[in-house]
Amino acid sequence: MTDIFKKLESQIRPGGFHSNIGMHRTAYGEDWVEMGLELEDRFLIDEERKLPSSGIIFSLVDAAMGGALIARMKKLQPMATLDLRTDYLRAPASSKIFARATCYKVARHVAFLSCTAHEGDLDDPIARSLGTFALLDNA
Amino acid sequence: MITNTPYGRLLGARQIQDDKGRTLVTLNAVEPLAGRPEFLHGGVIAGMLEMACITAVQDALGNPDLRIKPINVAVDYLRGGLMLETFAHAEIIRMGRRFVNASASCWQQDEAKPIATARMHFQIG
Repeated sequence: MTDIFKKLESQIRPGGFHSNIGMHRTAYGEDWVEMGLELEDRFLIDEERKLPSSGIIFSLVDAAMGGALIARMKKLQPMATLDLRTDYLRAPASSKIFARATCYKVARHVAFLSCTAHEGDLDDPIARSLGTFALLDNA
Repeated sequence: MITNTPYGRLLGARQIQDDKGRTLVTLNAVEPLAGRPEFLHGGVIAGMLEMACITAVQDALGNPDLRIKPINVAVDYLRGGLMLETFAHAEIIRMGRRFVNASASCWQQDEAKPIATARMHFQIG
């Protein structure tokens, strides 16, 4: 397997929202990437019920889908999310969540992705998503 | 108030009233909220759209003790979000006894040119 992420390490700029919230890649394959995130108190939308915002799960899914597209394209493809739909199946029960995204089809200008967010067991998901990404021309 | 939560503060989100008396969620696009260089992160935009929807549902319910559970969200990204002041507003499309459907729009300089829109379903109670 071509280790695209090792090759890209120097080109991927740290900073921005990814570093801010601490999203990190935990695993990947030929057409998929899994990202992990520690659910910190600063992500809570309901402090009393210790409920993290759904938006933070959405952000992790978006990032994992971007990674899956890079894994599939084997290059740092300029991209933009066209649309992303997420079903929130249940509230997370633990303090670490993962999003495993797969790029299942690439056309000339658009890519199709799916994602399962979970807490360590893919068969007990917290969210399921479908997304479409635009492939932008190389700048 | 949804902006007065740890997550709201993480995004630096505030609630304001516009000149039409509508409640808007607003934030300043600063570097810690960036995605690709010079653009606001799509997850932050989604977060704003969700906060606008929750605000609209809370206002419509008028009872802060009722639980509002997000069932799903569909976000369409229409334009790249620049590193500018950003606004979001949501309308309730249908308020049922158990389910609420809301629709939100997010824009920067011109409300007629949204950078993203979203639809959400919530379950009440």
